[in-house]
Amino acid sequence: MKDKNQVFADLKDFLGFGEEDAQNLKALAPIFATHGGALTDRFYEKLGTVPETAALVEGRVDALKKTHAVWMSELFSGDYGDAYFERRWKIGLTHVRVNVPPHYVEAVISFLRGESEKLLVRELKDAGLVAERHASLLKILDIDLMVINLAYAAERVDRLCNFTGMSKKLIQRCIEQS
Amino acid sequence: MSRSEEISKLLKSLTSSSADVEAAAIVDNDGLMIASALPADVEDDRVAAMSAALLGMSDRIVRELGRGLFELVMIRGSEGYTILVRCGPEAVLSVLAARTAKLGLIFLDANRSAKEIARLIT
Repeated sequence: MKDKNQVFADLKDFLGFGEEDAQNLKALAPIFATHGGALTDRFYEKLGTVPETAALVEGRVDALKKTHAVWMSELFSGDYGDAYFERRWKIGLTHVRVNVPPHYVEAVISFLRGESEKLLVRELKDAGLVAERHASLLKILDIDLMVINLAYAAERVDRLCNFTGMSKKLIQRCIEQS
Repeated sequence: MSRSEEISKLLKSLTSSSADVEAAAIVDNDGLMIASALPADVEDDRVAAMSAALLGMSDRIVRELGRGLFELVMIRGSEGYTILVRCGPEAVLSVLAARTAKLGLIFLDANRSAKEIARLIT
């Protein structure tokens, strides 16, 4: 596999994420500082309505909300260098450790894609500005999701290698041969 | 004689040493075939990957259960045996033997060949 930092750079490049997007996101920081908490609350309320996810978060909702709030605030930090993606990578590793299936990350991203647009329409009013800033937000959400999922998959393969004594090349070969 | 030719010669010698040895192959730790004398209906690449996978797991089990260093693993099926013997740190020798094989002799020949192969590939 490529060096992680190169993967981050490639993903940004592929989605055309640049300085303009960074500025757009930074400009959204005050809106999400004010309303992000409510979004987090709504997301966790939603998790609470599904027995499977409710069991997953039971007894640690407050701690998880804090982590979620930090993650969300970082989306609007304006700094999307290697350190930013390294933190996203660690989220993927943590999800393997605590056994959170990857589709929950996809669910939160999907939730934010929809809810953020409504929020921006309400707060920014100017349709052109909403479209421009929301496009930047969608890009960073997609990149976050890709990085977290890549880390999740890489960590699972690492653990499989460690447990079975098989090399990554061998595991890849077994997948190809199956 | 090239190294590859020497390895092939060793395999041929092993498979012809006894009618009980039906086939043999040498595979690296990543599941790549180094040399094989397998039946035509066997898919080399699949056998290579499976042998290396079994080697990896066996090695782990031996260590986990405090059995020292891995030496060999034997699988018995209704039609015969599959025996994997380590050839140094980077490869494994896979031997297919008949159901009626005299295992002591097979182990002796397989171990002897594995040592020679290890010398050639290390």
